[in-house]
Amino acid sequence: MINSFSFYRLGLLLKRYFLENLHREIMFWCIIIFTFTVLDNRVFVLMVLFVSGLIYSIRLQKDLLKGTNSMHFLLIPATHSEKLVSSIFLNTFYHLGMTVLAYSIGNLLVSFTYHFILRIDVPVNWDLFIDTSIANVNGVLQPVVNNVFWSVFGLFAFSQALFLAGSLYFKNNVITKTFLSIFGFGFAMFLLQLILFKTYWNVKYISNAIIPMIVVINDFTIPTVFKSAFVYGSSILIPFLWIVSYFRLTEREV
Amino acid sequence: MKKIVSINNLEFRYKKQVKLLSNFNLVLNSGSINGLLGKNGEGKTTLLKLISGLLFPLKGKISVEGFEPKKRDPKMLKNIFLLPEEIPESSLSIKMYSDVYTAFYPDFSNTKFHNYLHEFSIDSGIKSISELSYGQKKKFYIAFGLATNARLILLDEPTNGLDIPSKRQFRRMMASAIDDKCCIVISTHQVLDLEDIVDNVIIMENHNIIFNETTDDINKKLIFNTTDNHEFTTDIIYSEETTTGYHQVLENKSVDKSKMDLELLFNAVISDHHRIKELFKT
Repeated sequence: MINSFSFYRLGLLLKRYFLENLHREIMFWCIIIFTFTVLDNRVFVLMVLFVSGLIYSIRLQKDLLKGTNSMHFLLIPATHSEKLVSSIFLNTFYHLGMTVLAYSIGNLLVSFTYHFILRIDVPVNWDLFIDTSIANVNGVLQPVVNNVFWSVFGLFAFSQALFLAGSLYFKNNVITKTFLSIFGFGFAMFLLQLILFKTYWNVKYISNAIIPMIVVINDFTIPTVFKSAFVYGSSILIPFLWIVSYFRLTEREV
Repeated sequence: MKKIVSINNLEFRYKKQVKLLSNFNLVLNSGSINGLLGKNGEGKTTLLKLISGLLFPLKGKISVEGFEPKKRDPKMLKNIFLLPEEIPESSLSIKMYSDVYTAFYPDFSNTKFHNYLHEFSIDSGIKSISELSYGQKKKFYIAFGLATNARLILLDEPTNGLDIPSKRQFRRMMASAIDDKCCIVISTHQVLDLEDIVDNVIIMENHNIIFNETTDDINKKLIFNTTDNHEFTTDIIYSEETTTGYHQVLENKSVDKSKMDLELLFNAVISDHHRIKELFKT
């Protein structure tokens, strides 16, 4: 897999994507920039990032979903790893980078427009990855500014890796089936958690959250070792999903 | 002549279906144009997909120039060109398409490509391939495929959608494209389109190969003629009545040769392949 990896072919695959989708890309990012000039709320921007990322990921994999395009893609003389890395680059790094760029351009446009037309100086928002929370510092409640770039990136990369794997695993109704799989997996973990709580910690109360791990890490009664296992475990989830996608791609038949 | 494709004891079936191919064996050599004939649903397209690595065999072995197709190694893929019956969509112009894809095929010849486009009367300056009609798109992909200089060219129903002059151009191009390093497989049920260009005729029936002979051998062993008199002789293998008389396939007991009628041969093989098999054994 590694020995036969060629950056030249990877470059060709990316060139192929951009040339084939040039008009669509320009159109899409212009719409996103326009949207961010109207609504630059941080939560909204992140929501756009995740939803558009999901759609982008599924659309990107249409190469592998639609019969004839799928044949064409699989027969391009490049390795499976090169094809997968090009998909990961586009749906994760490129998409996040372009969203941040669109957000910045949108903000600058608003600021410039106000400055030149109304002569009002509107500050440019650069707070996409800045989260402000109130914390108790030495007994005093104070606002604490956190850079959440890596958290957002991790969550986005995880979401994209999940839907990349989903789009390679399922042939039709990718979004629905991937969500159902997540729900199924989450529910199984939830049941497992309930059993663990009952058996080992004799917990009397648990919130009704279906994503059990959030409950686990927020619960101070859980031993640190489990919290650490969750943190490290989730950090390997992304490469794990990429590896799953790679093997799924090698098994893909048309 | 070099062995390009070798298939041994291949077994294949689609999920939840009965076996499509079983105990299937085939060898394809370089320097030949192979006509793969068969009725609908015999597994011709499936066979092409198996050879190109788009489907994986259940059992048995497929080798394309020593590579296992299911691994889809780029070294193998750069020497395979498959034109599926349904052609892929592309919004690129012809120039951009060749800019993007020729880099994947190191032996690609731009001169050949433009000559083929010219022969097919396709304007290489068009804005987008999607603007071309179905037949023109097909001609564009055939031109591209031949220009890749791939050693194995697999064409699935290439003449579907082509008008009569284009079919003639197609036959001429196929004849000029073949060299001793290349092997072309043309799968079709439009047998007339292959006449005069195939070196080898492969006929599939009941999901297996029932006939696989060179045109030289066919011409040596069979006579194709048309007669007004329908007199039964033991030499007649197959006969069919038409408005112009009786078209017949007969055993060739002389050194004379007739012009091979592929449609008649196909019908003869389908109607009595045991007799033909016996004839070609000797």
